[in-house]
Amino acid sequence: MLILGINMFDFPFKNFQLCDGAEATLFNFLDTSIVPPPLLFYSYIPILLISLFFGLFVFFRDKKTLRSKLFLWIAIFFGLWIVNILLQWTLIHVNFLHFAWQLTALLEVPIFFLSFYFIYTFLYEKDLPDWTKWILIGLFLPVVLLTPTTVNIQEFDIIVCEGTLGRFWDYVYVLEACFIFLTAYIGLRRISQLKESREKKKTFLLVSGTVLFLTIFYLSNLFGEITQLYSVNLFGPLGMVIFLVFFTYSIVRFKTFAIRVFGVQALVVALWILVFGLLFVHTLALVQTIVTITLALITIVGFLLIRGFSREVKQREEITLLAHDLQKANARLKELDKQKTEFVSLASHQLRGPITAINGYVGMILAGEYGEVINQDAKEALEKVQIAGKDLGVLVGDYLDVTRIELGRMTYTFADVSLTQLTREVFDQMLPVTEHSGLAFSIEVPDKPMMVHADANKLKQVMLNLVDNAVKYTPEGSIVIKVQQQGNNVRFSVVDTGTGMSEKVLGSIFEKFVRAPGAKRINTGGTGLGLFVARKIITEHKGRIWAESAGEGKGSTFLFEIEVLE
Amino acid sequence: MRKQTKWSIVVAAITLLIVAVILITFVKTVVLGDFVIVDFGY
Repeated sequence: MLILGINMFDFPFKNFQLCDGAEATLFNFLDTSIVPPPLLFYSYIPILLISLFFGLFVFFRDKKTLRSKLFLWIAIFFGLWIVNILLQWTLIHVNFLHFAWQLTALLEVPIFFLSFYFIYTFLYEKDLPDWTKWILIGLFLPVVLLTPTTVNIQEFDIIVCEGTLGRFWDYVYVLEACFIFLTAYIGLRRISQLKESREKKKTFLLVSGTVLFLTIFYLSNLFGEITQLYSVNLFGPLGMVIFLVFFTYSIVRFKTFAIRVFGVQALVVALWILVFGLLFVHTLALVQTIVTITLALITIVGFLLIRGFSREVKQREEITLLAHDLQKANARLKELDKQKTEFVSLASHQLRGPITAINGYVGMILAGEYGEVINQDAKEALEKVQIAGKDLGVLVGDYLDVTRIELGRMTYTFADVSLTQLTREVFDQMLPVTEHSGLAFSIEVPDKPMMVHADANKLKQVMLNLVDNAVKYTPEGSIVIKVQQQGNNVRFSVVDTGTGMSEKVLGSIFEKFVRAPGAKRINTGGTGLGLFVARKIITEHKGRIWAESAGEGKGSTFLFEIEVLE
Repeated sequence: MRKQTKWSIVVAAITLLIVAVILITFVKTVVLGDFVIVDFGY
């Protein structure tokens, strides 16, 4: 600090000199009247601003992803590199110039590393493996550590105000070339792996844009170095323009980063800078150059944008037409659905009569109304007919209920009824069935009657359906039916120790025609309509119905709640 | 240590190193001017 302090103090007087021929003025550390070709300011500053704008825009639109961060870092290092080069052309103090020369590699190499890293994360949508990152760090460390040494800038000529590059630059150039090849290699490998042609095109655009940018950047530096014609370096950053044009195109064409409007904004900013630049030029030839570049930019980006937008307008028109067609098709489908429901309703009605007749007569034959059935085989056959007839009756009843619900023709007769009483009736009705199945069946109801405003028949239908389901899906164990008060509601529940169900099934069990996986094996006659009808009935009672289960094989509970009358 | 934390530390360390190197270079070139400077004696 002491040394630094002393030197800082006599800074303008000691060791601090101007390049030969430069005149010292008050603010002469940055004097733009010296040497630089006019193209420099015109090409470098817009490129610097546009790339920073791109980097920041992509980053702020998509802050969390690694590729956005990497893109921003490429833009930052590229921006710093351009500032450094601009200073090298404009500075007139040996010390500052020397400093700028010394930093070139430190700012240049990361652009190649980060471009490779960016392309990798873009192509594979994941981070680089750890070992690769350690290799990158290992390769970058010598660049950092050798920056302040004479291996980097061997000596500095104060006459022409240029440095002589050290051996270190052989390493830098080899390293940069390797990274161009690596980027191209992973890009080509990825393209060969992709199957979809749209993805292939998008990848090709980004990879070729990046590789072209790096190659032009690299070759212009190398060529300038070999020939000592440093003005060749001026064309290096133009590679960035190619990269940005490819990048913008891929945004417009493929909605990369999902920011189409971005292209328009970038164009407006670029045009503003270019036109603003005209204010500072004096010669006609230069004005012509600027206008030519501006024209080229407008032509390329404008063409891409107009094509993108006209395509979008066309797509929108197609979507409008499709929506119209869909509306028509939807109306037709609704009409067809209504006709189908009417047909099912009619057919079910027609079927119910014969089924009732079959069930009635079979019942009477078995009861001995037409004389005793002596033949045991005939009796068993009739019993089977009776069971099948009952199942068919239930099935037709379900279909009729569904069609009534769908046509809005379900009628309810609401009255004040005791849910406790209804539950006892259901228990009595289902007890023989559970005994036949060898299940323990019990009831837990409060002593006082729980009064609800409901359609007694419909509510009983729901309760019977729930208990019937429990019987069908409980091979062994027990079933309990309960009635409890829950605040302003009364809750009816059927708890069984049966097959249970997964959480996924629980969510859809009340949908039409939905049955639990494996239900067909256990209960072949089911239609998947019972619970759908039950839900509709309970909804009409302003209540809710649901099922709970700890999982497959762990039993289940079916519950509904409706408002209790005080 | 979490993977992300580990890499954050590595990135911070490299950034510090770069800043330190830039400062050293600044002191050596601008403040001290102690590099080999060639003057052909015009």
